[in-house]
This record gives sequence, C-alpha cells and structure tokens, in this order.
Amino acid sequence: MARAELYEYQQPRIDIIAEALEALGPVEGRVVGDVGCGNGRYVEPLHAAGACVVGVDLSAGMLASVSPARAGLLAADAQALPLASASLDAVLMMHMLYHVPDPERAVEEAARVLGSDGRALVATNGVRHLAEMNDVWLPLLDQAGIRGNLEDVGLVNPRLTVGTAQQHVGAHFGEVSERWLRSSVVVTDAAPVIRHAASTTGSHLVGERRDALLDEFAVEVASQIRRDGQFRITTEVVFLTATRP
Amino acid sequence: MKIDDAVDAVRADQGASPVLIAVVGEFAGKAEKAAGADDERGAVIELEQAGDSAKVAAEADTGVSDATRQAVLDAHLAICIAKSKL
Repeated sequence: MARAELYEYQQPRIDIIAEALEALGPVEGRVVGDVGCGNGRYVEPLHAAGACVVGVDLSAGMLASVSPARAGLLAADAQALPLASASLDAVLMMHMLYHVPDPERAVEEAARVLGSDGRALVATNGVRHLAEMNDVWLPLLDQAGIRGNLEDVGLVNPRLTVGTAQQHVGAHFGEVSERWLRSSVVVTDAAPVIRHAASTTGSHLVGERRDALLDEFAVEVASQIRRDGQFRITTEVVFLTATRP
Repeated sequence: MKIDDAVDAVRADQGASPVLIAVVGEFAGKAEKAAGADDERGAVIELEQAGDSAKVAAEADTGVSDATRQAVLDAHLAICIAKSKL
C-alpha cells in the first residue's frame, strides 16, 4: 500500500488502470490473463469490463487477497504457465517482468498462451522513474555498505530496461508499439516518500540501521522541501503492446 | 486414460470456465509431451505440476458439474500414483 500511496500525489494524475484497459481494447467476453496479478489490482476492473479473468501469480499469499468470484486464480510461474497454447485472448504483464529470473521466457510463454490476434500488454518503468528519490536513497545505501551488486535495493528495479523488454516482446510478437506515461509526484511533506522507501527491499537489508537510514533519508527529503517548497519526483512508465500474429 | 477422460468431460461441460478449459488443456498437453520424453522423471514432474493446477482450477470452478470435477481429480490422482512408481 505504501508504494501505491505515493501515486496519490502524482500531478497530473495518471489512471494507470484506465490506461491499461484502453491499451487492451475491448475485453468483454474475452479471456484475459493477468500474469503477475499480485493482489489483483487489475482483476476487478477487467472483470467489471466483462472479461473472463485468469489471475496468475507465483505467490499464493498474494492470490489470497484476490476475490475468486472475479477471476480464476492460479499460483504459477510466469515462465511456465499452466495454460494450454492459444487459450487466452489477451495477456497483461504489469510491472512484473523485472521480477522474473528469465523475462524473455515469460514473454515467450505469454505468446504461447495467446491465440491468434491476441493482444499482450507489458508495463515497465523507464530509467528516470523515481530518479530523484533514488538520487537520495542510493548514496545512503552506499554509506550503509549494503548496495553492492544487489539489483533490487533501489526504489525501482533496474533489472530490465525498456530496451530489453522491447527486444523480448519483439522477439516473440513481431511489431511492438510503445506508449510512455510520464508525470511527476509532488510532495510537500516527506512522509509518503519515507513510507515508500521503508517498504523496499533495501530498507529491510540494513538490519539495525534501518531506522537511522530512514531518518537520514527523511532529513534529506525534508531539506529539499524546505529549499524548494516541494519534492518533485519523475514518474515514467512505458506500455508495450503487441499482437500475436 | 484418465487425462483424456478429464479433457472430454471439461470440454463437454457447458458450465466449465475458460480458465478450467485452458488449465486442463495444458495438463493434457504435458501428458502428451511426457509420453515420448527422454527425461521421464522431469516430464512427469512437469505433468504433476500441471495436474496440481488442474486440480486447483477444478475445485475452484463453481460452474462445473460434480462429475466433471471428479474426472479432473481422478486424472490428478492418476499422475500422483504414476509419479510414486518412478
């Protein structure tokens, strides 16, 4: 929740769910797979739009928070979907590929389970996403000596660049179209930024220093707010859409 | 074969959800693949995982008939038994 809360301060606000539904096109009566569905953020709106939703996530714990009345739920690996070939009309992979050990394999699986003319939507973050927060956060992690080669300690996961995601999607679908959703989060109080940082992997890796690290982060963010009247953070998401030949 | 029976039952069941149809379809696909596999153990483990998903999907599907659900559960059990004999 802390991560989603940050986007309440987005200006202009981007309704990413509405954008995703628009990118998918009409879903009424269609079988739509939400791969990496997590706690089902997209499941309810897809169901409301008339789709027959298949929610897939590796975490059974996450799936437990999704209503089974809204979707068929499968605890499964995106790299080996337990679905027959050509059994879906559309697939969403929203902000999840960078968590998958072999992202290309996951895209290949999405292509396999999609029927002819089926549409895939992949969302991932651009390189500038939350950059201003990371500019403060990562040096603090460096000082704490925990950054090292770990990929997931920043405020965004840099494992998968937009270019690499495009390559993977292009390799299995052919033509890929991209749409950038750029905006800013603007806060005049450091609290939501701190809560976001506190929810990330990096903050949990510092052990006893966690509170001190978050305090240092808060001091720096508050200092920028005092200086500029606000703390402005870039948000940058890209939608990659492709259709199964 | 139990998996064929399950596939037939699901396909014929008007109440079966697209999710169940897709999952049982993949279960059947894995069974076909396992039949000619060099790595029998690996193939059966994959098949068992597909069977587990089919079992969960059948149990969760409120529209499917009891007979269809039982056909899927029987197919799942058959794979569990086959695996135990490896």
